[in-house]
This record gives sequence, structure tokens and C-alpha cells, in this order.
Amino acid sequence: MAATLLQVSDLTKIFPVGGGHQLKAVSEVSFTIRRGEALALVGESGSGKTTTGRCLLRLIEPTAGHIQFDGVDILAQTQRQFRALRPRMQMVFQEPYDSLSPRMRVGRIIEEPLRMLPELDAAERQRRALEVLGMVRLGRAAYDRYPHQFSAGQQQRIGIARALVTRPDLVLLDEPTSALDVSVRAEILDLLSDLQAELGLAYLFISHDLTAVRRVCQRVAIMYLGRIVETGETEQIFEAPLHPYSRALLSSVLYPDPASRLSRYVLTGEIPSPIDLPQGCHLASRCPMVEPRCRSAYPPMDRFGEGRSVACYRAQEMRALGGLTTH
Amino acid sequence: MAPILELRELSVSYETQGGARAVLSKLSLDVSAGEALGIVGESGSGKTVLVRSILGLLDPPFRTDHGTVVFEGRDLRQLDEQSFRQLRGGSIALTTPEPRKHLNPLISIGRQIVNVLRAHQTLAEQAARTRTIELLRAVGIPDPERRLAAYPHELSGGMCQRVIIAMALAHQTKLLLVDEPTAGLDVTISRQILDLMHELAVSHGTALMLVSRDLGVVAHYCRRVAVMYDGRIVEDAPVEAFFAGPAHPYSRQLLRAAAASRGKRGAEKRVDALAEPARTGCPFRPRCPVAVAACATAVPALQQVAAGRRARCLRAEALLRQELAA
Repeated sequence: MAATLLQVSDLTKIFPVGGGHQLKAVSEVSFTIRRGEALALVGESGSGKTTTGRCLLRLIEPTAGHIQFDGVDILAQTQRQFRALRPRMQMVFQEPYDSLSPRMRVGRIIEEPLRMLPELDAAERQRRALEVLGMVRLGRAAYDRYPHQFSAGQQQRIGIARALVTRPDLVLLDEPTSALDVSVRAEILDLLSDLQAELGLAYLFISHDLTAVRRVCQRVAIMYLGRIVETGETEQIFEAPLHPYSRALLSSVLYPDPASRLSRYVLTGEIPSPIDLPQGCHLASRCPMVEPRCRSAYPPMDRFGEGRSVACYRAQEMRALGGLTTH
Repeated sequence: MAPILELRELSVSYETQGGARAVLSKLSLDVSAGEALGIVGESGSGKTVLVRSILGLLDPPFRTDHGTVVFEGRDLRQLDEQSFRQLRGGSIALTTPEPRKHLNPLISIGRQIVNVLRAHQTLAEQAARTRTIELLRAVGIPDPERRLAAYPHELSGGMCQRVIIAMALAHQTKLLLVDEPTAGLDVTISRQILDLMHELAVSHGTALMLVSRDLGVVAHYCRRVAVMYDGRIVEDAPVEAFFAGPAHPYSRQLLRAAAASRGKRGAEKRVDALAEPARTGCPFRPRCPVAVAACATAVPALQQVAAGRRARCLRAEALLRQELAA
């Protein structure tokens, strides 16, 4: 069994926005997810993380690039061929209630994806639905009820159950906790971690909730204006980011502990419009480390140790800044 | 220092088919000038109703039944609508996760701030414009001379938050109520906004009331925290002491849930985190891992448990001792 489950290479998505202008939502994005691994895709609004996720499931068609899922080039497949693969790639959405049909009973909602698998009869579908209801700790009683009879946290469990019922290898989680209260959020995050370990699931966790990412994911890729600027193991990056944008982002996280002190790394100005981006580094207009070459060509992804890559000409100097935690 | 805002036994309810239901129950709270107070609690705990009732902005079916809201010595509940309107957006300002809603969509932001300045002091048009540019620059709006002519819909959410802070500066706002300061904003932008609010408190003595689900905001930007559960304050403590060891079991659950890493399992009795508040005795009882028989008899009083700390729990002192021993 190959260790790599998903390999994304040079993924690009361009939206025409009228007047001959282009919105390059995703530019030459490359990453891999191994079997059983949780990778976080983080970034602020407009970074392209959601568009990237949608391209993976072909909810939108990428402009260029390759996506290999378990060795299969999914962009070369017809929609019909791809549908056969879809049960192995599932998705959990941000708004639990909006993503569940209010007029269907929970059992039917969860069985819905199984209807694409003709080899399963009604009895087997029900058996599988009850099985995943147990996995998400909801129990059999939920089967005959309607979504509105559940709290937001329980609704998100239903969404997770629906994603798991086809026994996927990869689950895409799009801001799965941002609509939830603190205590419910913690329960869902713990459930996701437990399921990952129990079932050997791989996750692509799309989020701007950085403490959630740190809690659940083994690896992280940080996006800024359509590009991955840094990728590597979660703890390494959270402790000592090497890209100026990662450093600014991660030093802004407010941990729930008044004693935690991070050395702030401050960018000035707002995120520029993603329409008609300049050819150089997208951070050039806000970066304290900027120098002339940053404005002329986008920096290449350079390797910094095992599994760590950074797209910055001055990453080596950034290393001299050390860790974020001050004592 | 005398409090700038004093809430005394504020009670708010709403009408349902089955009769009135309490949203705030005899809530008492003080806020001093220059103080940053964090209000935390889950959805439905009454945080937003609290903020809106201070501003007299509750609409039916919500109804203020009882209590006083004293701001700078005046009971706001006795004010007529005309005087209240002068206060709102003036001495007391509010911002929410939709800051654009608090700006007039038909008037440029420059004009809005100029109007504020000229309503409160005799200032010539040109001087007011100059001052407006200074204010916009002070809140980090780039190219303020050009932005004067911008309308709210042309600005991002973060920029609108900044305009509201600039207006608070123009008004010399005494009390800024902030409902969910980080919701809907990106991390780096929300830090810039919080820094600005903090500066406002330090340099102008503005009192801040930050209503947030985000304990990280409270940990780093507040001096004091009040935890709400089911329309009541269940704990009120200095931030350092609170995070070192909360005195209410509900606070303890919130802190554990917010932790960046997952805590130990099975350390505590499993309880139903979704149970409805109890209607008799302590409302938190159905979710409480340390409840005893006495908790079923009456709602515990909000009592002093240590210097500057109050908690509404029969077991608060025992909890604190355990925490200290651990």
C-alpha cells in the first residue's frame, strides 16, 4: 500500500472577473497527504483554501494542475468515472444545519451517499447507517428523528456520520467547528481525532481556527493569496515559522492563557485584492523583509529539513529570529 | 475609582406561549473607567441581551422587567428615547460582528466622522476634516485623505471596525461595548483591532466590555472576566486568577474546552454537556460533575470566594482549594 494517498501538483484555478481581469484564486499549489494523516490548509479570507478543497472533489474544475488520488489521476477521469471514486473522498461542511435536508429523517440523510453503491441493499444501508451513528456517539435513537430535533453539535455529528458511511480514505473538513460554541467545538475536535486514529482516516482540514488546527492536525500548509507559503509538521511551524506571513499569522494567535507570550511579528496594511496580482511575492507590499528581488519574481519553494518547505528568499534569515514563545 | 456603569438586579424576560421566560435574572455588575471586562458564556447564556439592554435596544418579545442601568450616575432606564439616542454612538458605543450595520450606508465615512466631531464641539468644517484625517490615520486606515470619500460598502469589515473606533475616539466614548470582537475577522486583522481598542482604554480611559466566546481574547485583552450561564453571572474574577484556577465548575469546563491541546480523558465524571439548565436549584446542576444534594434546593448566591472574586457555587471554595493543591 502506497503511503501517499493524495498528491496535488501545481493546482491552479483562475476565475474570470470581467473587463479582462482575472482572479487567480489558487496558483500552482502542491502538497501531499499520506494515508491516515491530517493536513491542515490554513489562511485568511481570500487565501484560496476553500477553492483548493473544492477542486479536489471536482465541485469546481481546476484551470490547471494534477490531482492523484491513490495513484489515479482524477482530473483525467470523466465525471462518471470520478463518481465511482467519490465514496472514498467525503466532505463535512461548515454549517451543520444548512447541510442537512430538513425534511429527511437522519437515517435517510446518512444513507443517501450509499444509494450510489448499487451493491448495497436497503438492509445493508441501514446497518451501515446505524454503525456510523454509533461511531459519532449518537446512538440508534437518532435514526428516526429529524435534523431540527438536534443541537448544533449533534447536527455536526450527523454530518460526520454521513461522510463516514461510505468508508472513505479521505475526508475534507471545511471549517467544521466555526459555527459551534467552545465546549461543543472541543467535543467535535476530539471526536475527529478519535475517528482518525480508529479508522486510519486522512483529513484535509480547512480552517482559520488555528488552535483547532494545532489540536487535530499532524501537518499544516499555510496559504496566502492563492499560494502555499510554508508547509511542514504542525508543531515545528507553530513553534518557529520561517515565512514572514506564517510568522505574522501564528504570532497573532491568542491562546487561552494569559501567561503565554508570543513575540509578535507585525505586518502593516490589509491583504491586497486577489485580482491581477503582481508577478513577485504576494506579500511584498506588507512584508518587513522585502527586498527588490521579491518584487520581480515569486520565490521558489525551498526545502528546510524533513518535510518542510518555505517560499521565501529570506527564510534562512528568518530562522535567526528563533521561536515564537518568549520566556 | 467609581464605576462608570453599574447594573443592579437587571432582569429581562421574553414572552412565550407558555408564559414569560427569564433571559437575565437579577444581574448585577460594575465596570470602571479604563477597565477591560470580558463577558464569556455559550450561545443562549444572555450575553448579547445584556449588551442590548444596556443600550435600551431590546425589542419585543424581550422585556426589561426590573433593575437599574446606571451610567455616569444616571439611570438609563428612566431616559426618554431622545436623550438615549444622543448617548448611543456617543458616550456609549456598540460594535458587533457586522460593523457595517452601525454606519450610515448613504453618507461617506469622512462626513460621518466630521458630523460627530461638529455635533460635540464647535469646530469649523476644515478643522473637523483635518481632525478626521488624523483619526483615520490613528486607527491605521491607509491613505486617509482619499478614504474620506469612501462609503461603508466600499470598505472591508476590518476597515469598518476601524471607522467605528475612530468615531469612538471622536466622541470620546466612555464605554465601548464590543459583541464578538474577533468574529468574521481574519486573525491578523482582529489583533490589530483589539490592539486599537486596548489603546483606546489606556490612553482615553474608555471602559471596554468585550463579549466573546473566545477565551484567548479575554486572556490577553481583559483585566477581569465575568462568566455567564443561563442569564446569571456564575463567576467574576481577575483574569490571571481565573485562568490559574476557576472557582465555578462551568468555568472549568470552558477553560478545558478552549485548551490548545486535548486534556486527559476520564479525569472527570462524564456529564451530558447538552443538558438544559435546571429550572429549580442551581441551573448548572445537570451538567455539573461535582454537584451535591444541596445544589437542588436553591440557586446559589454570587458570593465572594477570594479577594476580588465572586462565584455562584456551593462548592467554589472546595474547587479553589483543590486547584491550589493540585
